[in-house]
Amino acid sequence: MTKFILRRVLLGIIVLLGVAFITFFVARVVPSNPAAKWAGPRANQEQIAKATIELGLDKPLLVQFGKYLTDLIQGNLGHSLRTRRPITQELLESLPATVELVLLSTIAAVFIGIPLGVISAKRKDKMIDHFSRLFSIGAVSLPTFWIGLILQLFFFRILDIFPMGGQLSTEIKILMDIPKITGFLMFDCLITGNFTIFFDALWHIVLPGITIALYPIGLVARMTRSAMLEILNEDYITAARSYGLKEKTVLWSYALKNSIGPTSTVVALSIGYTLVNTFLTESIFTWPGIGSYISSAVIGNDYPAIMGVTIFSAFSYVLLNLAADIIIALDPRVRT
Amino acid sequence: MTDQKTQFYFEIKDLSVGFRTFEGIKPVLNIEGLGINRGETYGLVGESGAGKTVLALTILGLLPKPAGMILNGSILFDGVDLLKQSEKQMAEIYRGKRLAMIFQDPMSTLNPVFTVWQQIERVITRQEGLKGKACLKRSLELLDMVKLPDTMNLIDKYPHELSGGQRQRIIIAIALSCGAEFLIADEPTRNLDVTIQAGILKLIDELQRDFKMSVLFIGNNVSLVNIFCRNAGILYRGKLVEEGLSNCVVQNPLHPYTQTLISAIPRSKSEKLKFSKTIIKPEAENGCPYFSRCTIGKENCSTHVPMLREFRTESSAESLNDIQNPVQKAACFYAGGTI
Repeated sequence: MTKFILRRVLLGIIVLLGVAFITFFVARVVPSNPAAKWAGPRANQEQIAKATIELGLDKPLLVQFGKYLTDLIQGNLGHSLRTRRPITQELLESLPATVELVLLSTIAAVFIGIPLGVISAKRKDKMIDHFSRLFSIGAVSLPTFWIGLILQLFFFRILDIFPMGGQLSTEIKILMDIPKITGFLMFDCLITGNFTIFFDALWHIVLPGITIALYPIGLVARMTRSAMLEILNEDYITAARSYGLKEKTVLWSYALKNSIGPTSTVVALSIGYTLVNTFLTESIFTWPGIGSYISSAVIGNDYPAIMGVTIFSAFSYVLLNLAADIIIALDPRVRT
Repeated sequence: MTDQKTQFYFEIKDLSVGFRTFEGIKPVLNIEGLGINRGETYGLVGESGAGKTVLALTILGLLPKPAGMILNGSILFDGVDLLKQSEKQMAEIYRGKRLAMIFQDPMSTLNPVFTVWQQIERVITRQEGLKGKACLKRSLELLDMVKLPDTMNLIDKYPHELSGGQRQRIIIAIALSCGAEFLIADEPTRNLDVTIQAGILKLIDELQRDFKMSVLFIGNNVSLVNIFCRNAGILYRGKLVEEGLSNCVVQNPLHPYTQTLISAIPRSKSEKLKFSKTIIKPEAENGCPYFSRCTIGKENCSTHVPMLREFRTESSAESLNDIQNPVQKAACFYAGGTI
């Protein structure tokens, strides 16, 4: 098992190196002058030349790449060209808000998607199955931004139940002392016992949460259903029934554990997808997460920030897949 | 002999099972009657696709739904019609507790992601309510019973770490863990080496004697059934074409299909193998199911379905003098003729 995990970690490192290599060189090829950006809008030739040396852009590309890698290993993603602050710090500030959203959608994917898939496999071609299929296909195929806009239209504009966007109400932001311990707003509120802010935050996360959670729920439900359908036809399921085991045991333990491979891979991949999806959703709901950060970075041509977010996304993907591989290794046949 | 019909411990009457297809319901099994006494072994022989496994699954109420449909008939077990039992009753009272089944492929019958222990434990806990140490003790006893060595070590292994013979023994142990009275052995030695086959068969035979179980042994090997079972039935295309004491059926086959089957058994090196000269005639839709391959069939075979008829055979009665008037049945208008 240790060997198995070690091998996966090593593979992940190779993937990250590849991503670092590609992002670095793509950023150098893009026609923009980072030194001019760094020196400011009204800099003269001399100042720009000075900035070039300051940023190390005069050195050979490979030396630059080497420096970039060493910085990367130390967790230093460079400085933003717009704010001149370390990108790592900026990312860590906007990370918790995004993680909250992603976590919520993943929990929904696991606790709604998997049971939905199991039930619709069990009741194949019954009402619940048709409903679940319709739901999954809709959830997967409808574009996120459209869902976000429609939700805003219904629940804010017409029904006025949920807020339009943001992480907290303006009054609360101004009037109340917002706890900051881990940076995860809802979690901090819970541990400090500040329920007024907690419920306000909960109220605000509903719409962006649904927008983001729909895709993973649909995908996971669909994948679980097809995996379960295949497994329910296996001999060992008929055999388990012939031993007189309860249908509940057969379904939720005997069959479900066999479908854990495809299901957890899909969950992991959908978390990665969700992360990218938040970039869009956060702009729609003015959610102060990484999504908002990257969109302003792209607009501002802030290429170190873009690279930083890219590396961060790749890193999360690798980490999630590692987690999925470890979960899949619960199946004894996979372990080597 | 005639009033025996009411005494059978297990009896199938006019059973008809079909599968729903795009072209309508296709009948796959049509058994007029089949009876097994308490403590008796009955061998059911048929080629693949004859409906043997469908019959086994029908008895346990595990036909794949909604495709599989029971069209008619009854299966009486200890006086109760199994087909009239609800799914819950089948699961709680019959399956595992009173009826057990050994499946045909040991490679796919064990759940690959659970250890042997996890699989046995669940069944024992469910059926006997044993937990913890008592459950472990019972599991080890069962594995000892099926003559597996080093059970303490074996119990923590996953199915893929075991050989086919070991797996089949474990499957038998699980199936018999709750002292079932009636065992369905669906080709229990398929996919196993010949030496292991013999071991498994011997084991089932011993267990049958020890527990006085009734066994429905399903196979595609007539000689095996002859050694192993008291009675034998020959299934062809879902229809019982011949039935009787296995000795009689093998020594004096009446139905042309049985005759072909038996003549196909290699006896000695010098003897030339007789393969049936299959003459494919058009199917007789309303006639005998064997019509298209039969060599002695005449005109009326294609229009009438032969029912099981009783025959009394003198020759076999001598060899089995403990049984009076052995009855052999065959579903053929020209039964007893030579092919």
